[in-house]
Amino acid sequence: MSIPLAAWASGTGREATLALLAEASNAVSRGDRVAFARTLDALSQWRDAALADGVARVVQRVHNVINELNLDSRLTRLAGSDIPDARNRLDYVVRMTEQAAHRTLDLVDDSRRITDEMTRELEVLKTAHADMPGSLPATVERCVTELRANLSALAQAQEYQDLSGQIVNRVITLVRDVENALTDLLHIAGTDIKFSLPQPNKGAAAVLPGPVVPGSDTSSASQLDADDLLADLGL
Amino acid sequence: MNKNLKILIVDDYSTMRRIVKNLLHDLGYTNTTEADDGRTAWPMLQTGDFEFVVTDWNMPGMTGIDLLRAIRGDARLATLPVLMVTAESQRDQIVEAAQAGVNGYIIKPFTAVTLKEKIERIFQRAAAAA
Repeated sequence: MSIPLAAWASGTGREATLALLAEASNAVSRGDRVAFARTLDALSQWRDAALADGVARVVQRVHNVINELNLDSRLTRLAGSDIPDARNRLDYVVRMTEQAAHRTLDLVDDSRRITDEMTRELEVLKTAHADMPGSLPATVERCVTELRANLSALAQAQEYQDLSGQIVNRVITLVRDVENALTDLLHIAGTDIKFSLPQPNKGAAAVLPGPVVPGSDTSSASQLDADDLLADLGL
Repeated sequence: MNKNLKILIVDDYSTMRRIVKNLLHDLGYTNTTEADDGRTAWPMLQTGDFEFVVTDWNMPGMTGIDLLRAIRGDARLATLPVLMVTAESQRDQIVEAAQAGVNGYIIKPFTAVTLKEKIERIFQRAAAAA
């Protein structure tokens, strides 16, 4: 059973619905399962058709607005060049910070090698000159220890690259989504007006919240919160 | 504690792998190997007689939580200690990891002290349970 979409919004649509409901009711009274199922199917088809009709009208309205405001050229520029350019810039930022972090870690590794060498030389010196006066070896030893601690802290500070990279990559994904949405919108504004029912975003449920951005996130746990929570769970 | 412990570090960010490796070396654990996601880590775990795993959560290919579940579901690896080091700091994620059988959970950014504490705690608990 097929019902013209336009009929839905009009009075005939309502009458047809009532007729179908009455038919379903009769089928139940008669105990006619087949007729009941067929009537329910017709109602269900009707509902889908109504939804599609609604979407089609929204699409038509978007099309009209885009034409009236002459948005085509602005949106084309945004979707075609400005947004891809913004994405490239963000990609570049991630690459640059990654390179800088690796350069720092390379230098930390090399400096550690130097402090190891200093420690070895110091041992040789201490053995060869056990009677050396003054506190020079002790002072140098303390300096080397402090230097190593600073190098460890320096390496640890490069953690920012992972976290900032993850945050920027999220923004890149968002920008890509906006770009796709705009491209779709422009396609809609074209001569062939197509529509499709909105697809559920399959990836959305699997997306993890990611690193905390101060000021943007309110529901995240600190390490202490996490420790308490895990303790509650027996860990 | 056995400082020659064979540790697998799993993280998709090479900088983070280097940092974790550096920190572990500072703590005296020098027998470390690296993998860039769960999919790379899995065959290494199958053949590599690792005694400890430090893994990120959010990675392409195979995530840390899936890797953890695979480990717990594997007869030979089921008791392998797994420490999650991740930027995921929502309660739900922490609970999910605990339910999947994680042994410790560290939120990035973290400190060397936190890493030391969690590793020691995992081995204390293992020793107490043994």
